Amino acid sequence: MEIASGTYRWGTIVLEPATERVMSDLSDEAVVAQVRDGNTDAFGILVRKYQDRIYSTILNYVHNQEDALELSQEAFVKAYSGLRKFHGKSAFYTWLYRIAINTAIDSLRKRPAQKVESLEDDKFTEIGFEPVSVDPTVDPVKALSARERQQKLQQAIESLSTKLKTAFILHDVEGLSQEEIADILKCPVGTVKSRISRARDELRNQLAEYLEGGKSL
Amino acid sequence: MKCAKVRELISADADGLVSPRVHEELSAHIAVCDSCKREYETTTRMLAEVSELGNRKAPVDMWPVVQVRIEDTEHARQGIFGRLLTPVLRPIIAVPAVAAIAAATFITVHTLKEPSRAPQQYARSSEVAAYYEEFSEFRSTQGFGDNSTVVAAQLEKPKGKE
Repeated sequence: MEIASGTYRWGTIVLEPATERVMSDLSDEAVVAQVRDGNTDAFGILVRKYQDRIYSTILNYVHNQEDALELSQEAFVKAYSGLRKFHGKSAFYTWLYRIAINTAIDSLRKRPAQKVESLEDDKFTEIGFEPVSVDPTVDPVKALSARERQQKLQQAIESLSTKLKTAFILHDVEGLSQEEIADILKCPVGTVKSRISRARDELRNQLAEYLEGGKSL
Repeated sequence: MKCAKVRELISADADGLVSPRVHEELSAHIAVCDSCKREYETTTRMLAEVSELGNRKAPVDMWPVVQVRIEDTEHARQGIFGRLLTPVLRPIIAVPAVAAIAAATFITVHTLKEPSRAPQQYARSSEVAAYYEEFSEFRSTQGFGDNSTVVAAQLEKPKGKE
């Protein structure tokens, strides 16, 4: 049974690629309305639109690709389940970021010991994914220094308090604006500005030896 | 511009949030002040390094897994009765079923109501008419005016107590 370009199957409209392309042009709010009307497949558009940003943000908390993937999926499931409570007072993606950050922080509370990321990389390489976070140069010495540099930075960021870390990650690592962060954290822009500034001061002090010595991190 | 003020503004300048005039003043100070210059350079270098940690791509398309997890969550939330009811609640089955139930209810109610209610109503109407006529006649012979409320009160009394 055919309805428009979607296939009707036991009460569910399964989106075909053409339909999905049209729907991806819709605003987040319009897609959210579709999902609320019972079109679960429309939620896939939102997942595909934001999966990289959510994954990248969570990875900055857990420093482990497998965990970041698992927690990102968990955040999307929570978002779907909580869609009834989303009243559209803020943008969908800032609401989604908030869920993702809370999911990452909760997981860290439950699991204080951190896994070593390098052990997990092989699993992704097996399925054809090459981590992009490491310097892609073929020179193994440079690749090693890139990894060391990242670990040094991550350790320094890890030492920050949760509030400073969140503001710093969202602004300086992920590139969100101070207004967007204020919306995500439900606090004034002035507070966000102050947290970013304090986080930078703390990190600069911790990394002074590397930064002032003219060394690369 | 003093060193304390410059250090306060370095962060905002790195974000491009200061006016061109303030940026010029800041640059002029940094050019001649070694300690402020050092702080400015370390901040900008740190931010450049940190930005490389962001905007990483998810290794796989998450939707297929998320979709399965959503279905599992929904099933768990619905419970066994919800799962059994779900096929029944599908529009293709639910709409004709609701229409059939509504029609059956309507027919049943009207079939049961009409024969039992009508004779009672007629009986009561003729009884009231007869009583009203009799009572009105009595009142008119006694010289009272019409008083329907008195009639109604009389009618409400149980027959045995008259």
